[in-house]
Amino acid sequence: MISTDPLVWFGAILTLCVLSFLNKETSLYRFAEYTYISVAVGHAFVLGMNSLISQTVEPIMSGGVDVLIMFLFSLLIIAQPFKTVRWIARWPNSLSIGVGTGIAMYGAMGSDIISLVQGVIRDGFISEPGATLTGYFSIIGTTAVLVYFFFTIKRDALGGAVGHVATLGRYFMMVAFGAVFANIILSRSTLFFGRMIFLLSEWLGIV
Amino acid sequence: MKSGEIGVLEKLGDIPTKWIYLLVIIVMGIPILFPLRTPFSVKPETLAVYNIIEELPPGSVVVIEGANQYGFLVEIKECLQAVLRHLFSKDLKIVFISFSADNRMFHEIARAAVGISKDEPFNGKAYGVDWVDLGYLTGGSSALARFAANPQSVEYDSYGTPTKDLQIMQEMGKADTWGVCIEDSGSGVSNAIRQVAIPYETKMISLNTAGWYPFHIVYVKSGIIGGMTMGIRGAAEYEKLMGYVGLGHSGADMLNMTHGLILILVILGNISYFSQHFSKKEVET
Repeated sequence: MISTDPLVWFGAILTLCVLSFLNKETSLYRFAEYTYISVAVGHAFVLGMNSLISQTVEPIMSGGVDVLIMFLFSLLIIAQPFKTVRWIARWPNSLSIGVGTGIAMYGAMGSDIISLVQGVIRDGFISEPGATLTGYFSIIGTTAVLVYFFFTIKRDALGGAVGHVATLGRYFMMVAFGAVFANIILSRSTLFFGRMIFLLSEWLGIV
Repeated sequence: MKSGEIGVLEKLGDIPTKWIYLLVIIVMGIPILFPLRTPFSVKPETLAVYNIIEELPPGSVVVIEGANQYGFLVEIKECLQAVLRHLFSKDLKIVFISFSADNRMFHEIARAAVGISKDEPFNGKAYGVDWVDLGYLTGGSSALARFAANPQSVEYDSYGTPTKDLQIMQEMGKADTWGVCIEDSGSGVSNAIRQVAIPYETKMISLNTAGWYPFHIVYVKSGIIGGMTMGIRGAAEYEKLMGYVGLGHSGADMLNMTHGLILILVILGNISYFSQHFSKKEVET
């Protein structure tokens, strides 16, 4: 049965407005786009303020001096739009960037470099025969791609061998980009599927 | 065919895109209206998610965190629902926390779809004792780092209740005591790895969107992430493991149909391209 909920109707109409883009860019599409942006900004603002109140204002009200000091320090960022005192805004920015980098660095080294290299080596030398073949493939692929991005040695060095390995690296990357593209298709078709389900199920009640 | 004349194969490349869209909509709509239940296998990465949850010792803390955007709801929601059914059928302590504004809504919608409410116990699990929603926390990576080091630093839950009044939060330790950390978005995986999995050696599961999947599969291969699901396909696989048919199954049907069509279109497009390419050469010679 077709929905009687005005919110479902509103959602369905907005969905159809967005889908009108498949034909051409229309004012209906623009209307849906601007509505989405304004609602998203409003929603994020309200939740951000709620988080600020619960994580900062309320602890200050209950006597959190350390939170108060950091809150006052963070307020210096308001100086950013004013040319003469803009330099003051660099302090909270510096602290934020410094702390952020410091926090991320340890985990990033462990996850994006050490563990990945360990994984490539482990797959190639320790696993079962079938997996070992995949492991060798990983080692060859990783090495070839690294050579592709290694610009110190000319491509015609070692009788052109460097160039050949770099070309192999490029092919590996093309395969990887293809895999990413295929997954993006998968992802986007799922998003469209979600809207189809909404229209056919929640709005029209056919399914 | 005379030289320079346009053949059928060459015309294929000039099909207006709006007809292709229409074709995709029709093909996508068929499995929704008439479920096909096409067979599919369960990937080892999805099975690993199931096994990790299955093997958790009773009373383990499970943290479900993410930084999703609302648009990707359909990609994660079905899988999260299946995982929630699994988690709430076991003796576990479940903590929800969000690092994007939309993610809080994500968790609420998935819980509501399963039938989990804070007002009455679900499968004997009561709010504040067996599960809690800590809502949205600003600060991204830094906020997650603080939460991992000291969960009690979050002073209020999603409904405004002080966390010091909630039993589950009084008992909760820092990240190295958690049974598993489930990251339920694609975009937040790096933060969870850097702030939880690596520093505390906490077991990690990722419920990924299909778009992020190829970027994060390397973390599974290197052992940082224990198990991972991929979008609606992962949902279908997890539903299969849990023994029920949900929207994930329709999603799998839709993917099979749509991808078949896209594959045919890619092949036809290439045939058309090369056919035009060679006929141009013929004209030149």
